[in-house]
Parts: sequence; structure tokens; C-alpha cells
Amino acid sequence: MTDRLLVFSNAEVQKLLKEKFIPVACNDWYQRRRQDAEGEFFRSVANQGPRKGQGGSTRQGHYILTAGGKLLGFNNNRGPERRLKMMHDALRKWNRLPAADKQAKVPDHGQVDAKYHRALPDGARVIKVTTRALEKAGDKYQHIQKNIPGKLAAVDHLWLRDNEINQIKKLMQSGGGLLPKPMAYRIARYHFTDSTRGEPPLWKITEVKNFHFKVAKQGKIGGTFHLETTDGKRGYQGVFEGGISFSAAGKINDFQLLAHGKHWGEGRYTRVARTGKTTLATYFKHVAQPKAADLIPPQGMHWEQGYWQADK
Amino acid sequence: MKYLIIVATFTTLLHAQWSPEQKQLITAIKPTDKESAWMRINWRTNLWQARKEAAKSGKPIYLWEMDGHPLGCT
Repeated sequence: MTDRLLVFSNAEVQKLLKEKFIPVACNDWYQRRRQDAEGEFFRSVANQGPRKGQGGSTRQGHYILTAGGKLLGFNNNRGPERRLKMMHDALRKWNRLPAADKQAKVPDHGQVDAKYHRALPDGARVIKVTTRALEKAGDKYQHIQKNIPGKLAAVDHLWLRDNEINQIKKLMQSGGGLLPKPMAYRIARYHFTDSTRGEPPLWKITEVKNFHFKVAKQGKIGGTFHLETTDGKRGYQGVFEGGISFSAAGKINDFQLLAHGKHWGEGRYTRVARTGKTTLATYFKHVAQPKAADLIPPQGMHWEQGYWQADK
Repeated sequence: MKYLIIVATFTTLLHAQWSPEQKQLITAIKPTDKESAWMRINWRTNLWQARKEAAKSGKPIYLWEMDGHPLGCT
């Protein structure tokens, strides 16, 4: 997230990307594994730089390449100066390339490796999930005032399938009740997480101590939650409220959920948590007309079946 | 018909249901304008399509790769 604030908010970086490059963002977890034309292409580019993926290791970083796959620059630093230098150096290399190297013929993709490719199912809806670590100032919540990691908002997406939305509708029609377990556990295990300092550990099913997610007949949502590891070193406990509404035609109109409580502990990739139990809050909002960035798969979807059947 | 009336009623309520304290919390959670500035960049999310676009436009590709999607959870 530091990249977003320090590098990609920089006016010169933005101008260069807009005018001189085709910017694209991808999830290395999928890209380095996928056994299809795209995976082979990406690995062939990365192999020209320092990230050769020994032992299946990460290839994350910033690459500048031609459409044909020639690497012109690589960098994994977070300062705008070094990134700008990398971009300018790569442009100089680009300008010296023969015309044929700049105008590669790109073949059709061919069959996609479904094991490492995720797409929003037909009819499914996207709920944007924003999480932030906060602190209290009197009765009000405020951003963390100290300059520490994890003070920025973190974004993820919750996916709900068409038939699941219909289940909610039927639940409301029948007078309300508890959200069906696959959805409830999906929200608890994969979206009530502290994603503010990187890839968060997801909750195991046995770590869901309580997740009472009630939908009333008018669509009002409310509940309490308690998630905690067996050793008690990491947990999140609090309350949530919200609502879901449908249009007269039966289509989902809105879905909002506001959760807040106390979180404690850290994960392998989310070190330097604040000490003790501290305020964490998450806001869910239905995206009526998703753009490309809204269609990024949920972080918890590396194991696709596990995401959809989170209660198993 | 009864269901439609109930739903239509709640459609209105949903937008007004947050208390001032909850609205303040939602505002605190959401990214600020400064935090969202990086989204002014027209990020593509499909590398293969980006290749085709780059070849057509005569530009190099800037590829941002992260464990956890850069536009999502990182």
C-alpha cells in the first residue's frame, strides 16, 4: 500500500504512465503458477530479471516490458525517485529498439488455466470491502495519528452468487432469520480480517467462535462476531449492522454492512501490529456497476471451493 | 404485493439508517482523496489484453505484480 501513496500518487509517475506506458496490475500468486500462455509469457519475462522464482518463490515487483516479452526494466523499491529512474532508463532502451520489437504480433491467449484464473460468475454481485485500523478520540473514530504501518485503508471484494442473493431474498420473504452458513462463514473467515498491513491470515473454521448474522424481513442486518485462534494470540471481536434492499423487479439494490470491534495479533505477512486489542472497522458496500478494479477476485479465493463453501 | 411494499420501504430506509456516529465511522474507514490518487491511473487487469493494447499503441507495458492483487488486498 505504500507504493500507492508514495509512488503512484506522484504526479510525474502518473503523467509518464498515462502518456508513455500501458499500465497493468496482476496478482503474482496466480501469474507465477498458471500453466497457460499468459503464465508462460510472464515467467519468461521475469526470468530475464532477478525474480527467477526459485522453488516457486515470489516474482513480485515492477516490470517494464515490450508486448513481445523483452524485459526493459525491473525494480522493487518503494521510492518515487528510483522508480522514475527505472521508467526513464526503460524508455531510453525502448527508443533504441528496432520497430519490429515494438510492434510484436500477439497471438490469441488459448485455453486459460482455470486452476489459477478467477472470474466473477454470471449473475454474481460484487461487494466492496474496505478495512481500516482506527483509534478513538473521545466518542469519535479517527485515523491513526502516529506514522506506523497499517494506517491506510485496505480494499477487498466479497462475491455473492446469484442463487445466494435469492436465498437472502427468500429469507426476508419468510420473515427473516440467520444468513445461510456458506455466506456467513465466507464473510467471517475471509472478510473480517486485518488486511491493513499486507496479506492477512484467514480464519480457520474452528476459529469462528461466534458469528451471528441475522437478516430481518425488512432487510435489516445485525449481529455479533468473535473470531480467535486457539492460542488466543490473534482475534477480532465486535458487532455489525447494515441492510440489504431489492428493487421492485427483485434485483439487489444495495447491500451495506458496517463492522467494528477490537482486533489483536498479527500474521506471517502482517507483522508489527499495534500492541494489545485495538480498533478495527470494516465497511461493505454493493458495487452497482463494477469497473475493472472492482472485479479483482477476493483475496480469500486462492482456494476457490473453500471460498464458496466456507462452512465446510 | 406485500413483499414489494416491504422491499420498497426498506430501499428508502437503507440509505437513511446510519446514525451520525455510524456515518462518521464509515467516513473514517473509506480511503481519503489523497489515498485514492493512485487510482487516477487507468490500470488494466489483464496482461494478455495489455500486450495487445501495447502492440497496437506502440508503447511498452508497465506491469505491477504483487502477492495479493495490487488493486485489491496487498
